[in-house]
Amino acid sequence: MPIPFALAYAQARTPEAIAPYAYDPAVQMNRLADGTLAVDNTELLTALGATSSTAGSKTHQDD
Amino acid sequence: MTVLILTSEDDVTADIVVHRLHELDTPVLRLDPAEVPGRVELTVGLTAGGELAGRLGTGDRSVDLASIRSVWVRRPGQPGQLADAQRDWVGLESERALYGALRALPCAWMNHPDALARSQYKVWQLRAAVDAGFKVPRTMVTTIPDVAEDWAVSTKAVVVKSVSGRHPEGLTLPTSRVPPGADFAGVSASPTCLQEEIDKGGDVRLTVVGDKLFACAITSQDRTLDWRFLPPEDCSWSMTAVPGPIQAAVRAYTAAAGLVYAAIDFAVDMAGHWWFLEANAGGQFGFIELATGAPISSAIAQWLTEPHHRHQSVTDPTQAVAHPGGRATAQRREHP
Repeated sequence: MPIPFALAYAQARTPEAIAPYAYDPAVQMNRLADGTLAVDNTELLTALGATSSTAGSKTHQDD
Repeated sequence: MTVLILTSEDDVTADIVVHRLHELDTPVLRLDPAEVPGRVELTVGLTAGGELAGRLGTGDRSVDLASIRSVWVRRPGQPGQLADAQRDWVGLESERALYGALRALPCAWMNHPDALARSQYKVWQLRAAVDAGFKVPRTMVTTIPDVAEDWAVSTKAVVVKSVSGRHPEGLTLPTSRVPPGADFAGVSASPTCLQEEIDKGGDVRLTVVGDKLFACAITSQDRTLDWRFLPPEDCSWSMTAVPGPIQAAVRAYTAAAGLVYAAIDFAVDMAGHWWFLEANAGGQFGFIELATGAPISSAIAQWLTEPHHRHQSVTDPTQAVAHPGGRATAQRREHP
């Protein structure tokens, strides 16, 4: 069987950046290493593409 | 009364809404169904009188099921991921237990699992979009190479896209132009979605939150086919007004689909007509809010807090929001 037609147009996935934050169950949000909330650093979130239309779309239907 | 958020721990888009809910003093329980069983604990039972009773929680934080006012199905993992044995079976048992309990509650959903599941079927979506009053590009889904080739030859410009919206393992599949003379043999190996390409001047991502509409115009220098795969700095983002007929069509579509949240993508042709491309019931919105200041997270938090309250029908595209970071983001941000 040939390769699916659409796959001829697929591109290699760019590795996602490692998130420099971790979930804090106490506040139910993510914190950076310095203790500040990730949502307080909008430049970082934009740079990481963590809220972009393709973020996490490998496993989730949320483009 | 508590808002329940179903999502993964690393979902910082959900963080933005959690922050808004804290500002509203709305109690929140956030958990990932992937961690049932394990970190997430669930008990549910029927009383002698037939009432549902139980608790749901993580660690030190748990809530009475009856106290859940709304559920935001944001980015939940598949239940059972922490199981050591019989993961698939445990996952199914967990899915049935968790969602069975939640479905039995008289709470509001953003979005209900049934509506989410149906909205993932592209052909259903496109048909519903036509019924709602949208302009929809001619589309063909087939497993027959000759049918695909004949359709492509009869169409001025053709793109190929995923039927499911999911990307292949290790790859991404942007909407892509099909060149003249393409070999369609591979159509027999998987259902293939071909669509008439709209000669567009730009795109719009319209985020629907209950009765509120947030339309963001997206333009790129080379009028790229699929802006989702461009670096944000290669696009310009600006909130825009929603034409009246589009507002009406959005209402009709979300009502038919049973959705209270959706991210709808449009191509805007050179005459200014909006063409429905797809509606993602779980579409991302954080990047729009960060780029434009559109108060989408606030609208979501307000809806989850007061799910049965009818909000203002159309959002003023000029309003901006102070982000949790304390920086009032500009209504329009042009990237260099």
